[in-house]
Amino acid sequence: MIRAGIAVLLMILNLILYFFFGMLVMPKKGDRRICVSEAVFAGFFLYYFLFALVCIPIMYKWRPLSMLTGIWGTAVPVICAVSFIVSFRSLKKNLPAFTEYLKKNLPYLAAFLVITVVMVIIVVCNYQFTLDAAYYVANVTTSLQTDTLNIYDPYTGAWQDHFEMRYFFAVFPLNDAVFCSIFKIHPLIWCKTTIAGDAISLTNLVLFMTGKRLFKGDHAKTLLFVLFADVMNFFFITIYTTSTFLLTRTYEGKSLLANVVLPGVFYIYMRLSEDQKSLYNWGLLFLVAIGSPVLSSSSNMLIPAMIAVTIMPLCILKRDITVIFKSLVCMLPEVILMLTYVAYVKGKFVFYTYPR
Amino acid sequence: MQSLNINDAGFSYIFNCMALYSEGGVYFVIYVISLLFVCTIAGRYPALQNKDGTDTRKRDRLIFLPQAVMMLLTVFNPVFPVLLNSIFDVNKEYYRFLWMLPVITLIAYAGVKIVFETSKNTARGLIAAVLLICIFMSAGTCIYENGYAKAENIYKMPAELLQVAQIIHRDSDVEYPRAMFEYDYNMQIRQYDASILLPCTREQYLNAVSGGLDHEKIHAEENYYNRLLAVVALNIRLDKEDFLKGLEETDTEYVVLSSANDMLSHIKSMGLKEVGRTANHIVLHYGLETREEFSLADYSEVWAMGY
Repeated sequence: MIRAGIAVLLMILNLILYFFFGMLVMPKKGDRRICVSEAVFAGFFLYYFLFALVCIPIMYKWRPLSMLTGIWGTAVPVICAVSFIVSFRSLKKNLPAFTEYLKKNLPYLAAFLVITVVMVIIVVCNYQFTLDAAYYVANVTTSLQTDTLNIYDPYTGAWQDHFEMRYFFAVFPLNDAVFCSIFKIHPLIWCKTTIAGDAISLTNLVLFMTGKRLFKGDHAKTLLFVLFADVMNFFFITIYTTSTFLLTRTYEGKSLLANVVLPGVFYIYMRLSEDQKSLYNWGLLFLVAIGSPVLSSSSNMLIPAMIAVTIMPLCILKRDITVIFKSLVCMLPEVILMLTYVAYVKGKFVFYTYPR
Repeated sequence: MQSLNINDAGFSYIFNCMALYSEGGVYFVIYVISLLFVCTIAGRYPALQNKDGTDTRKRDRLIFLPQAVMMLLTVFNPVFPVLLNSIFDVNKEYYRFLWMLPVITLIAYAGVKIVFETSKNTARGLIAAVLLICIFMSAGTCIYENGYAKAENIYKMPAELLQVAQIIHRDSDVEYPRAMFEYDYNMQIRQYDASILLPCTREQYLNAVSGGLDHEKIHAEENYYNRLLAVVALNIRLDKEDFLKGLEETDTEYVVLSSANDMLSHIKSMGLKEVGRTANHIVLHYGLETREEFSLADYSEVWAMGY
């Protein structure tokens, strides 16, 4: 029971961390109001992008998990503190409006919270057998057991002489290992309770943001929209659908890609369709583009494709050629990573786990 | 999609892919109906307009139509997967492109529009919402169709698996014992306890259970884990000498079987001794003649050298 309580507290802590990371990139000048859900959404991607920047060089140099834990465990509170300091004035200014917003929409927000909590309880209390957990969770357990980063094969425990490039940039499970190390929590509890809860919260958050925009801030409609979407998630089930990933493989990066990243890009498209010149909107898209490869290497294929089919048509619809260039810039990180992987598969290079 | 190959299916691949993706569900059909609804009907009549009287169709078309058309021209174009597969191998992962279509978003949006824009009063709205939920529930398969399995513990692992790990560590005199398990436990044990090593990877196990092993491969003087897979996963009776050679060559000293496994007595007859049991599982031990003890790589010298 205590461990379950800790897992739930960590679930909330993660969302708070994302919020503070997000506040770093939220516009603070002028009369623009801070949107908490958008700050959490942006912060989630910034968090994982920064984590990858720290993690990958340490992993490449075969340094231990404990070193990464020390560095990232120090960096996160520092970043949050900096974020709090630089955002303090803005947060203070927004507080009355936020309180007013809460008062005005309390029944709807409470109902949204209830829907999310019920969904989290249903999913985290359920027993699921999924094959990919043999990699994703075992990778966390293996990293902790060996105090290494991606050097031992999660499936067998055998030492690997080179890094598997499919997972080299998708270091999402290594963040799990860092937190398990800091809080002395078992990877199964962390992945299948804490991260699963966060994944569902973020999924509903993106649905909430989308609904709010579609219904121009009408919270009653937004709430029904979230309810309908969640009901469908329980019934749109085959082994391939986004809903299945959400409800059975909740804690995997692929689940986040399917239910947070891609709907998130669609949300950004809605923003861009109203203002395709907004630097903030493009910045948000770029943040998603650089943060999502850390979650799953499938992002390298899906994000450029999503931008191409969703965002690029704005070039014609808005008669704005700059949309193409800005889209290409957002696609570039994934395209580079995809080409890197192709080069690896074709045998052009290997990153060894020992000096040669 | 393991069961589908773009080279074999050709231009019909996308249709087969969609069929497998939906498995008889009609969410794609509802998506198309919803698209037509929000782009043509919704907002056309006063009852379906926004409260301020504005027509929502123009905005809805801008939001949902361009992406739908682009998806139709690319992802759902029968030529596209064939073309793409000639550059990258997308056989297994092409279905993920279908994730880009905002099926749930659009259907939920259309549903809310129906409820709020056509219902004049709360009761009618409530009835419409319930009806729509019923439609959504019957449009596909429920995740808990076969019942809701409550996790036995906070690890979301079978309680017996945790006991098996304890038995192995209690019996073993090494930090990293290697054990062979049946399918489910093989996929789960290292999620719980990474100090237990396995003789074969997930792919090797899947290859065996999906018919990838023949007599020649099982008896080959390489990949000795195939002998363990033959006995434990495929219930093939191997000679004692062949099986024990498999254990020796892979440094496997434990075999964990369910008590209902037909091979139990056969394996015991080859000299493996029971060292513990749970309600439904038995842990067998084999005394390795020669053991290459597993230890973690020491990188401290490498770091000292400045790498």
